Amino acid sequence: MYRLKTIFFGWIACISLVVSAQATKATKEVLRWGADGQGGAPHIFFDPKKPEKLTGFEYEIAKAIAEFMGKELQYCPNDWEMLVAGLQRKQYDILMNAVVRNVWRKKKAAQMGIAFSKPYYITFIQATVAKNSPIQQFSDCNGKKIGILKASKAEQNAIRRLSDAQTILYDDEIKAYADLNNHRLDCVLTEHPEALYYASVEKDVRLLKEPISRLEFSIMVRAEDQVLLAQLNAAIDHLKQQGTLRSIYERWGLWNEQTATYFNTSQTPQTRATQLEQYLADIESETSTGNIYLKSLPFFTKAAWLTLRISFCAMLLAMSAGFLLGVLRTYSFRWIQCLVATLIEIIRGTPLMILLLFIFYGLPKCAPYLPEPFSQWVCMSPFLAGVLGLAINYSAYEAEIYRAGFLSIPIGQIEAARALGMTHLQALWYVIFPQTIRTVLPPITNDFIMLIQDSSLVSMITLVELSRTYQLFSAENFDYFSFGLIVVLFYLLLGLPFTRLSRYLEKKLTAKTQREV
Amino acid sequence: MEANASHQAAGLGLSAAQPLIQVQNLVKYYHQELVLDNISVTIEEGDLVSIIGPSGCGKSTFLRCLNGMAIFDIGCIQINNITLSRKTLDSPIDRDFHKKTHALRQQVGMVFQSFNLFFHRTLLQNVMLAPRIVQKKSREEAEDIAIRFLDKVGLRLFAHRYPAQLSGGQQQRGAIARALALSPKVMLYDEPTSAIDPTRVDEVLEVMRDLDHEGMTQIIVTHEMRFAKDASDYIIYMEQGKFIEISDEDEIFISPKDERTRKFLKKFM
Repeated sequence: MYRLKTIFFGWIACISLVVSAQATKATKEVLRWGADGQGGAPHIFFDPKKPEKLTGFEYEIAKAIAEFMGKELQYCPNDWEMLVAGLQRKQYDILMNAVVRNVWRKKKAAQMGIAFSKPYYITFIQATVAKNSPIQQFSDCNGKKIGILKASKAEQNAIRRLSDAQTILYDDEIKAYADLNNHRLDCVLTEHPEALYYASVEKDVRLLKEPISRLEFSIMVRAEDQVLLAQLNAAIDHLKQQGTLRSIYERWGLWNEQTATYFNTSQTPQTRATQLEQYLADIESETSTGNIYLKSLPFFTKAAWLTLRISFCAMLLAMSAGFLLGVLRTYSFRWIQCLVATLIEIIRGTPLMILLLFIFYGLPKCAPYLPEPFSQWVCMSPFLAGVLGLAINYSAYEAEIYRAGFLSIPIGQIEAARALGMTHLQALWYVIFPQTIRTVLPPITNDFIMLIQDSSLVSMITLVELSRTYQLFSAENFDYFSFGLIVVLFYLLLGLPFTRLSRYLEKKLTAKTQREV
Repeated sequence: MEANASHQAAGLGLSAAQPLIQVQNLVKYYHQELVLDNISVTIEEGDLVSIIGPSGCGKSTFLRCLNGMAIFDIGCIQINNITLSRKTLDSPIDRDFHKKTHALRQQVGMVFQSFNLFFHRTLLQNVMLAPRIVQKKSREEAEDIAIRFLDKVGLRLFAHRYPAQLSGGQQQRGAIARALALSPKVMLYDEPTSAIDPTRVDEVLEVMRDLDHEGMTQIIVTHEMRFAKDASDYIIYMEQGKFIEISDEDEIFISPKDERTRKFLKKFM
């Protein structure tokens, strides 16, 4: 019997080990900066030449600001559409990622509890069209198909000024420009810096001369962090006077008329746009030599380790919780059985993605209404939220597997145990459960492999795991094919050992208890 | 008729001051169908009683009532000074009742038609389990007991086999050893040989005969007429939830008193 107990306590030890390894301690005061590095050139992205290195003009500004404040910069990646939600749930303290201040109405900002710093950069919307397109200015786009990014308000406002145009939303610039190239779109609207970097890679496109709208990039903070806001404004002023900002923009090829006017200086650049040149050259050379694939491997390995940890913890939790639910569903009082059955149906009826978003972004909203320990618990780390979401979702499925397992044990087994004077609990623990484990092992392994794949959804809540890494690299290097093969290989390698292990256990456990056929 | 039958049974066990098993006016319904119809019987220590009768007549239910696997609706069962009683149909099944049932089960060993050995344990572990967790005996003690009883049923050499590796007769003998390991006062058998290869039936019956010689009280529901005739102290013929006839083993086969008994036995003879 202690075999069961060993397994049980082993589970708990495993979970606590992996979870505790997750807890990090902060030594120096950090400035937590939220941004989306996926397809993020030139704002923030991973250097195509050295994928372990962050780069980008906003990255340089953020570093300069943190240095000015005497803090350490910590980059907190998040999905573009989720950036504001992440700030609200205190995932990071500043949000600096092409946040356009002047599209936000004051009332709305106040309602959402956010505030803005002074602008640190001024730019405009850039329309990009095919080289041979008849479109000469933005007003020619009437009645055309226009591609923009999701959650890009300024561009949507610009389109609204046209009398009629069909809008198509994209996750990232690369897909939009690819569709422009394929003639699925007539025009792509993005912020000028992105057009400069992404459209330039495509050969058959042309940037319209006309600047559309005025975009004021500023840093977003939570409204209650007034001290931080003042510090940020001071930092921006300082960097502006020192010329740091100007030199950054010039190196990245982003120095423009609008910003020059805002800074009250001359428009002619003083230095060459070395970073832009470098970027374009790197993209060209890295993908053509295949160097980037080798360099990406450590990232995929790291991401695979995260995927594995999340899946493993989630599965252990799901197996334990599912077991409990399965027992209650099968052997408890009638009304508890009904309750559990309803719960299982609700969980199974909820898409995993909704559950993850709800736990990560939804729950912290009720923090103010909860008593002390709970209000902290609901604001959990992405790792914990991911594990919990996956575990809850899968526990419902595991519960049903266990139930089927329990019901497959002949009734005579429990009768014999009861006739021997065992209590109901003893009969379950010593006779039914050990026999069930053998029955449910194959379907549970099957579920585990499915869970490894479903864990890709935790990329929605800021975790950079395998599939997120795939998106990052493929978007950055315009190559969904080769990185696709790499990521598939990694998923395969993750799942395979567990399939083998379960085969082995199955064989070992059932060898003598079943008649050979 | 019933009164007559119980009178006879009482008359057969003459000596003891307090009979080991006393059943009075047992009634059980199953979904409003009367399964046990006012049954009374007294069984003395050391008796071997066979219950015969057509299927569905309530034999198994009666047996299951004796060890609390089935709960009767009205009546009283007394085994070795533990009394389970329910006065009316709506008498509550309370904690006390469950406690007594639990105590009763330790006095009563039960052997099933389908053996029901625990598939995931070896024969030895099967026999050891109940002494270990029900009687809280130490591992060594339980193992000693298990080996002793496996020896008794002739399975000592098979102690480390799993049930799936044993024949039906061996499994049933193992099940008997498992029930004996709790040192019960009474052994109940619910058609113990029905699921066994005919050539293997005798090895099981032999074990029961040995137990009878050692003075074990045994109640057997069986279709094994020859065994019932040879080994039983007396035989009960049951039909439609009633004990129709209780009599000496030869008497019932040679000159059954009741017409229904005669008809039933005719099919077997």
